[in-house]
Amino acid sequence: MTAIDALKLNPYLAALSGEDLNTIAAALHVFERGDGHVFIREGERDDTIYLVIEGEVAVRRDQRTLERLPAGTFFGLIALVDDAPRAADCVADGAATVATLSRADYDRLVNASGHIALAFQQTLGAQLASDFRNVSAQIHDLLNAPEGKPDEIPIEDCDVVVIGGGPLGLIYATWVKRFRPESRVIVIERRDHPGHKVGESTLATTVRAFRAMGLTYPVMRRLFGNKAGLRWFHTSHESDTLNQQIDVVDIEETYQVERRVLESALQYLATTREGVELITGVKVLIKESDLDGDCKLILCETDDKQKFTLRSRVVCDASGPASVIPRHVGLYRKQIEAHRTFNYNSYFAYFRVKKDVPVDFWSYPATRHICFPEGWLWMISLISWRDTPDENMDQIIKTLIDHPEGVDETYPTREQLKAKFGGITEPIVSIGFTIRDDRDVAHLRIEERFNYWVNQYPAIRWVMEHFELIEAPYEGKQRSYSAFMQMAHDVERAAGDGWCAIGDSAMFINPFFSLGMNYGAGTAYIAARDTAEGLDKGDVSRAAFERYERYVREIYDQYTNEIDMYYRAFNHEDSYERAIALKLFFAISDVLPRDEYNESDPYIWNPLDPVWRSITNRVADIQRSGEINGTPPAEVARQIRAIADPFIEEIAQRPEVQALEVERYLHFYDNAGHHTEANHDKLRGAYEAIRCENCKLWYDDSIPACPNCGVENPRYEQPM
Amino acid sequence: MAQITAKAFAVRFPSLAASLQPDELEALISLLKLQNLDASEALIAEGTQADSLFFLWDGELNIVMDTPEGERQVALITENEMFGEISLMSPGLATATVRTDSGCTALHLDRASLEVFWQQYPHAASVFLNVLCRQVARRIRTANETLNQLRSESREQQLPAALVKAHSQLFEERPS
Repeated sequence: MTAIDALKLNPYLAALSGEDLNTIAAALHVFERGDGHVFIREGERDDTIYLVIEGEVAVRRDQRTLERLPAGTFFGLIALVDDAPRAADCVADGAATVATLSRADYDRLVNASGHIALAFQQTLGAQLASDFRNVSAQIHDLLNAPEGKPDEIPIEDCDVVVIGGGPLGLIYATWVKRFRPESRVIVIERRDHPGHKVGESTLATTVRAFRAMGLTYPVMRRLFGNKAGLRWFHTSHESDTLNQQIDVVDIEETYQVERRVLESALQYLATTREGVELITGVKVLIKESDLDGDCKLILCETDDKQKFTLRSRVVCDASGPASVIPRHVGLYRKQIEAHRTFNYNSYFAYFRVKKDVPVDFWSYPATRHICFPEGWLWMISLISWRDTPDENMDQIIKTLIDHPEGVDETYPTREQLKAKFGGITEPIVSIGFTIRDDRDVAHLRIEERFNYWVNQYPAIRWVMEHFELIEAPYEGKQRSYSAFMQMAHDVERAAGDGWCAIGDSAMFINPFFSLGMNYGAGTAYIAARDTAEGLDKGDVSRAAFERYERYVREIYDQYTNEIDMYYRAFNHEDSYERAIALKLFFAISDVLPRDEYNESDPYIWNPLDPVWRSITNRVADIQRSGEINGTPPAEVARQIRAIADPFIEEIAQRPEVQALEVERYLHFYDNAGHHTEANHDKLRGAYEAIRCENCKLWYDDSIPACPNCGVENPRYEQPM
Repeated sequence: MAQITAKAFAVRFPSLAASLQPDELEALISLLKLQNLDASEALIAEGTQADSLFFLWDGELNIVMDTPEGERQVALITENEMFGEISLMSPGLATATVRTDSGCTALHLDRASLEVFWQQYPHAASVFLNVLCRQVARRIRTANETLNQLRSESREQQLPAALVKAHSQLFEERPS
């Protein structure tokens, strides 16, 4: 179709002479553009008018196509008439040929000839009037839409959608708001209310992240059980005792955390203090969502099957192992071959203490690990609120968080809160195995596997005699034993154009050293920073997440190797001891208290240090070869000692490590880095837990009274 | 209405009057017919054929649309405004009902008379079209706003309870 053909589709113009039409056509500038080309953008100031010559042009506002303009239609007329900004987007719908007529040319045409002017005015008038009819018809339809039967899925706009209202999703959401307060951040969560997941053993960096979210020490002391460090033991087929004890204790106040309580508290803080919006009981229909455009359209469905769409610039996947986006776009993988390692299975249950295990300081509230050649056993003492109904729990959390900030003794005790709001707590112990999958007893069911490992090692069997199983401990769960099989996974990419995956959605390495929460908080922090900066710059493409992408890649690769090193070191009690000592001496100066979570926390323990990477690679390689070649574990342990000893001794001599007096924290080591007999009379560390004489629970020694029952701390000294 | 003078017309419709020659204006005024409306009377009924141009001389008119719950006002025409131009420029049924609440006076010019007038006075036609196009542009913008308003209203009605809750603080709404 020519420009003249298109002009002649308008009756008033068709009545003009061929000469007049040629005059008009000569003033037109004709060009073709591909699908999606934006001819006119809403809000822009420009008064060029357009004529569709071939193809179709869609008029869009609010991502909604209002109408499609066929050949012969003029558009962009309103701005010509009233000089105001453009009223809608006009976009090529498929390839389209259009002609433009500038304001100056239009004026020249109508001034030059009276009848051209009239024909044009009548054409524009008719077109405008018809445009008005169109809008009017839409108003009419909207007013007459049947009630309760929406013809379209409602759309809600925001800057960032977070899939998953677990701790890391909330931490990410909060940090985005802190870095860029004007952002609208909506978190969607599958569950109506936080429920049971695995308990967490937290380390200092994670507690700092919680504190950054607004969880204060007095609040955490009442919600969670105290944790004061880590202890390791080794056992093997050759031994019926717990050997080579390693402690790293007395460093900083941390907690054993029950997930429902943690999530509820973080949800409350994020929504009431930070302006994060949270929608619960909603699932994401990822297959029907659109992640391709500049705006992400996330289709959500409520429990009662109502749908709505969230439209945002950025989507953060914090869905945990569900890894919603990476799986959807085919980037999720359990590919460990590249790292020449194995995957891991964990299975666990909850127990009551029948009687204390007669091992020195056994009850000290540290996470205990018993390592053996196929894996290790964890023992985490929790304060469980599992019998407290959600509503009562929420009241307790709300009361604590809303309590005016002050010193610990101004807060109600846990017992007072329980009495007032109907709370029930019980000290329980989470006990679980993590086993290399190349050495697991795959033919057995979960419970059988658990008991298999208990019975494999006399020392473990003996320890387990002091505990009794709690049958089906958590509401809604029929089984006593839970499992996570083949846990390690990562993603080919952790971010794309307008999206990122954080926490377990991006990677899970291993429960050893609580990596999931430690570096999960790191992923939340760095991804939130990239998100906020990207939104500010107007670029949230994959390139905007480059720093984040590198972070995930480097942390995953290093720790996959490092974790491989520990597990293989469990083959022998000497290599076990040296491998963990390597970590403790290397990391200890980075473990001690810092006040606030800051940009160094995502890199806690300095795992990307080149010397450290090289040492861990070498040790892992030696062990790998040893396993392949059937080298006796004692011999492999000697080779490891040859690498580890000088490294540990060198670190122990560093002034910053000397200044720490590591003996205060590592009770089974001297300041030179040698494993020694226990000396619990060493100088007090930076932190100490005390056991309440009344309720027998552990708490921070520096506060005047037990946060659980309020009985005075006999060792407390009033600050001068 | 014998007493309509060019002067009175120019006071009420200045942009049109100022652009017309005195003879064009006189000719136009001679074609206008007065129409008085009683309270709640409709000047134009939605869905009927309408092809006249009106000049509201006195009073107010509501533009209303039919809905299942009865009529709903979508716009207002105030004194000294022209209307009816949509049907004039894009023949078709009236898009809305135009009704007065408390009575009004309008001047009325039917299409046939207008077309004759335009043929006699081409310059006046151009002036008219200019004014009318601007007016339609204004109407489109107002209608767009109305449409947006209605969309957001209907969206709120349609929003799932979960999303509505998210706007307030969900935690606060849990039963205690």
